[in-house]
Amino acid sequence: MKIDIKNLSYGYSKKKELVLKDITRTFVSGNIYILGGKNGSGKTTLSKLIMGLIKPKKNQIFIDDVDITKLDSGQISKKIGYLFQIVDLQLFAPTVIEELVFPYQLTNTFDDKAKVRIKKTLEKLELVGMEKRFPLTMSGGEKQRLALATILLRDIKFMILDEPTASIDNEGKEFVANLIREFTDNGGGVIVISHDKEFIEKLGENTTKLLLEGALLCQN
Amino acid sequence: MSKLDARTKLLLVIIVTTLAILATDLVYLAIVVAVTLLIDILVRADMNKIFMRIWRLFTVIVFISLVQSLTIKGGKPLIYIGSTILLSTKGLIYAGEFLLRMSVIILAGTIMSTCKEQEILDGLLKMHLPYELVFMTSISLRFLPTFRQEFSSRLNAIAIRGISIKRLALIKKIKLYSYLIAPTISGSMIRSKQIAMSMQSKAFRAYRSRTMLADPILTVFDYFVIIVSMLAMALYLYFMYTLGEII
Repeated sequence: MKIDIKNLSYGYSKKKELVLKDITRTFVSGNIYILGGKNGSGKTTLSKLIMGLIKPKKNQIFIDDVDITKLDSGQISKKIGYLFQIVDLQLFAPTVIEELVFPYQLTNTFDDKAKVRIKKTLEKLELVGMEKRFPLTMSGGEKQRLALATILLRDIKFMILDEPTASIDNEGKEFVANLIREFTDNGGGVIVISHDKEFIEKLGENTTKLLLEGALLCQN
Repeated sequence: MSKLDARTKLLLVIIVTTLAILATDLVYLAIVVAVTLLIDILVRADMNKIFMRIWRLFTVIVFISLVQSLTIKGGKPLIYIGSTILLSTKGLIYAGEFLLRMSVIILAGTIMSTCKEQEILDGLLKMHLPYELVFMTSISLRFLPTFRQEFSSRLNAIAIRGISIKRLALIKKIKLYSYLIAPTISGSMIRSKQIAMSMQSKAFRAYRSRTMLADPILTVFDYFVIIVSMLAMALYLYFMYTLGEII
């Protein structure tokens, strides 16, 4: 899978300066991209544009050659998983298990296959035994793992992780780094927005480092 | 008029909304709508925003108007099955009045949106309202955008689970919103509590009197607008009560 960005410019209002200026870049599966830049440089805006949470103009962002203005966020999310910068905003169900089950129930797809998938994801993200817990009272690391579980439940090909180590300890960072490597080894692509040098090192040397500066995207 | 003091704008809002409540006729209401729209233009309110707001509420307003027109009987029957009147002239007039009153509310709200939050609060303080009350107003003014932001983030969180909200059936949508209400309200309340805590940490209420950073003063033009608008209100009421209902 690939995400093509072609001459993307974006500003929140006509009166304000552009947050992103004439950005062109292709993100391909199987790679880890690390996106850096100062606060307010447009990293989150870029990820929200890719996810369709902010609407770009026509013919600026393509997912597998399909213009994303033709898709809604729900359709994009079937291919790309997105981890919010503030994980608390990503969780809302009263229990961990409901957090994972409800998308299936809403789309009438909760069957035995889904049950197996949920069980495997809980195991993978080390959330077994926490099924009845209220997500918002969990620790930072646990919430992060649960949010990742909600993403990995789907058969996604790409992940965009916005500051994934903001509220987790060293052990948690190792866990997330391993998860990212495993995901890319299996053919997935990951865009990580992070300033955490220690975490970036944990991802290994085989990464593409990008920098958003002055609304422009450049390779480090 | 865009540089009018927040207190003057607040008075204009009070006048137009009061007149909208008192007006009992479509013609009088239409005059209030026209005047409010004129004020919006003069204070340089964002007209695009106004039309977007009206457009967003359009279906709801039309639906409620329709229900009103069907439930209120009286006047000439327009649509009826046998002896059951489905739509009468009175029902239609009530629906129209509702539509116009809603328009006044939206338009009047937009007048205040041309003021900064701090200008409104400073204005309220200058009107000698208790600081505690102004502080609570400040918190509630912040609560609404916080609530809207929280709700929008939660909707985004739903969308990124691979759910196309627009394509869901109505019952599913209701179920989905039920998931969102509790965390959104609790999230907004937590944020409001944080603001209150931050205010307390800045020695809020430690002293009886406080120094204000800005000292808003009513200009001659403000006084002129206040007098003219009060006179216009008196004239409007005089004609409304002497002429009586037009429609």
